[in-house]
Amino acid sequence: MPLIGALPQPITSAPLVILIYAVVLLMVASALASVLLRNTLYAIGAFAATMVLVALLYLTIAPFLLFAAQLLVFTTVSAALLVGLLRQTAGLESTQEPFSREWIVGGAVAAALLALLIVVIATTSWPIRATTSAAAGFGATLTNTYVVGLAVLVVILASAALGSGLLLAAPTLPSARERDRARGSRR
Amino acid sequence: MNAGLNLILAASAALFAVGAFAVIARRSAVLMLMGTQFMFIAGCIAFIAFARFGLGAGNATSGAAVAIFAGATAVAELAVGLAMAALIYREHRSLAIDADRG
Amino acid sequence: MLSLLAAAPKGPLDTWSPTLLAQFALLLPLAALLVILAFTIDSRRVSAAISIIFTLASLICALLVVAIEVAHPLHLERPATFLQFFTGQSGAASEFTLPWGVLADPLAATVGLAVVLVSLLVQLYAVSFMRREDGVVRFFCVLLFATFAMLGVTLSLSYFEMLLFFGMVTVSTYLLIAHWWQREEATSAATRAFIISAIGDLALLAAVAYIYFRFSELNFQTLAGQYSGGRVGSNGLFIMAILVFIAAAAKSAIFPLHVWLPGSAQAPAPAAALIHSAGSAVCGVYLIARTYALFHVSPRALALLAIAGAVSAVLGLLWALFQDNLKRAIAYTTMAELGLMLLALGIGAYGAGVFELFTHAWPKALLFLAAGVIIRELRTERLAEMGGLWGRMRFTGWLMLIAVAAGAGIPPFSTFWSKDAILSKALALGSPLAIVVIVAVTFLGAMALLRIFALVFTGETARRRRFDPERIRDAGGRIAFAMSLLAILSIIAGFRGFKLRTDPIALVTFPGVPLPNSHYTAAVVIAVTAVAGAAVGWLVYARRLAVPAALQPVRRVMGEGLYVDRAYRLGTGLVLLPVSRATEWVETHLVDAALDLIADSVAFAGQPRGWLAQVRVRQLLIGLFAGVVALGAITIVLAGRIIGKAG
Repeated sequence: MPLIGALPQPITSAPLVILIYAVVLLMVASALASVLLRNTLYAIGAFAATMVLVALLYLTIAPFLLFAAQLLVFTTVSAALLVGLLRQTAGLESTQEPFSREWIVGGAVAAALLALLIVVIATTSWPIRATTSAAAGFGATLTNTYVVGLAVLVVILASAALGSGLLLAAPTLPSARERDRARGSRR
Repeated sequence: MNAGLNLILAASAALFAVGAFAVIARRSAVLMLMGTQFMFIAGCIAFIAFARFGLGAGNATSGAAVAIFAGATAVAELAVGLAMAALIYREHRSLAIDADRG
Repeated sequence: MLSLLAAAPKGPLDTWSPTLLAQFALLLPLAALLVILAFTIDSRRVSAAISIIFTLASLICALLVVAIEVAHPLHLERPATFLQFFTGQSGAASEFTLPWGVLADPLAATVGLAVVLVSLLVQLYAVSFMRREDGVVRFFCVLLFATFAMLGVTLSLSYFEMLLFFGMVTVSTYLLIAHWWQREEATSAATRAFIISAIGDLALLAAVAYIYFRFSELNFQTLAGQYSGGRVGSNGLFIMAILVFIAAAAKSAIFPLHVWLPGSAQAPAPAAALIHSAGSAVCGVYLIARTYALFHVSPRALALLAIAGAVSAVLGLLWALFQDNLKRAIAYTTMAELGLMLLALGIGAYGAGVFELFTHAWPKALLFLAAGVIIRELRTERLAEMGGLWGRMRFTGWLMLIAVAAGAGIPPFSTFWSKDAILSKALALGSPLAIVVIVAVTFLGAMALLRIFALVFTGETARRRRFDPERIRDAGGRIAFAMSLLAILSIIAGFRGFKLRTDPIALVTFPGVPLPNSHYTAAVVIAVTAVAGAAVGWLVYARRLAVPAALQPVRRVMGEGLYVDRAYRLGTGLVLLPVSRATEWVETHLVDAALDLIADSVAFAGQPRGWLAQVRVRQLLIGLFAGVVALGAITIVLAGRIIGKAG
């Protein structure tokens, strides 16, 4: 329990620091792997690994709920969606992307972006505020202070699910089929 | 040696850059959307970092709440984007974003 | 057992707390429903078994709650909340909080016990009764949902929660009535019930809004102390009471919102038994009992209750005397009983009114269950085609006789005690109108019920084509068991241990309303009236006295329910039809057109023409990101220079 009025301190206990460094480095490495691998399926696998490492990072510095949510929900859902789409479209075996010029240009632009961000981070003295009140439980805060946001989020997720489902099912809906039949299929 | 704000922010920046690279360089729609996911997650990590190391533990819940909302929105956007990618595939038999179209 | 409970600690979060048990009682039917839907929806036997077991467990919890309430009569129950929403930052005490939980005080415990017990017996009956039908699992699921919704109404602790559960009761009533949805009458009756119940829900929503607007509070217990505080004037309180009354009237079939009740006879007999005895029909009366603090401070509202209740009671019985359909006749007597309960609450007989709710449930349920058996055996619903069953269905006959006697108020059966208490209060008030109405309702009620019994069981079985009276069999097995339990309850449920701790009327009290003392005159009057009404009914109907010609038009008018139905249909045609045509125009030409416009514009944008089609996406992206980086760099350099110059 942090003392009220105390400034937040960086983590100093050696094992934890080493753990955090390791997690961060692995995270960046697997992210790089996922964008550099030419086989799409392996890239998605590396993406899932990155998400798991992000969850581990949350475990050390964020409320436990976030770790659980990231691990159980975001990772699995994202990975499932990506793999599902891959299966439906190009197939799982045969996806290889050629190495093209844009990789170099893209790499340069990304490196410039990274440099800009690092410069900003290093030269800014970020404001640090003291702990003002005892931490309420994260779940309780979500349902009390942010209940409106939670409701909006539910609506967003529901409409996203509905919308993508409808988009995918569009050619099989009756009205689309009638239109195709009336027009005659072009393919 | 300690793990503080700068380390986590640097990690977030690196992840963001990696995501940007994926969006620019890869052709497949699936991988571009994956890149946008990386960028979202990088933002979430930055929020968490500030909540933990900058604002004090008493206010960590606000940052975590934003992180959850942003993450959930990212997943929603992924769903819709992938549905559109599936439609593109149905039209053109290929997931490449900038294939030459007739 | 009682001494063990007497040592129980008080408070919502301790073990043995009635509130914890009440939460279990509430959630067990819902759990059963979810289990059935998830796992056993294909198997009838397992689903029925799960339903009965969970309801039995819920019943045990309800019994324990009542036992604890009896053992601690002076303890003011605090509610337990399992979810709280509040706005603003946590910890600010002035923010509005909306707690969801259960409140298990004596009122809730008593009515909740009735609900769960009737539900259990109805389920036992239904296992056997609906054995050969399709949709048995669906029936049990809807029964469980109805039980959950009714328990939720009983245990609600705020107006808002009550509103939510009222909506669930509306849905469950619709589903129960429309169980045999292949029949057109059933679906139209269900739709009518749904619409009227929804009107009640809307009224309750308006009440919630207005009460929140004036009091900034929705909790029953907190509000109970605030009504008389002078914050809201008597007109405001009367408006709130009217809105709550409309909600209750729609649910409890008070004239003129009664038109759904005869249609509810389309439900299968066990469903009708649940609806009428301890289901949505008593929701309204319970709402008034729960919010009695509001009515207590507004004498005009009490008068409204009494008048509406009296009118409903008398009309219901007059109509019941002329019905040809067995279940509809019983349904109209329910309407009368509900009116009587409202009258009791209106004249201030709070405990007596709630006790009437409790005692009336058993004979009414038994009547419907017996009617179900009779209709099934005789294959007809019309009273004119029945008769002469005493010789063939002796057991059912005895049970129905007990139910009729209990419903009529003949001592020592259940409703005698509650009607006696109501009349005592009327005598204590000295109001001649109330006394006359109560006596008339008792008389006519006895007559109507005896009419049903006489027409079904005495005389000769009417000869009909393709129907062989020799094939009539009496009820047996689980059906007989369930009905016998109800009969036993009809006999004993009324006993008031005078001046003992187990006096039910002393259990359910309202602060500020004195307990009615039982006048011996009241008891005698009720007994005499009920027996006299029964005798007249027997004389008239067992002998099948023909209706004199002068009364024939009266009979036709009464049979049609005073043409209230036609009035509704006319009004609907005149008012609703043009309104719905107008809204249809708006929807087609405005809303749909707007949506089509959006969709077409998106489709248009998705097919780029001209130079837009030649753009390479990745070039764009590279340009975008490079531009962002460049802009960022320039901004930082410039900002550094500006800050450097200023600092």
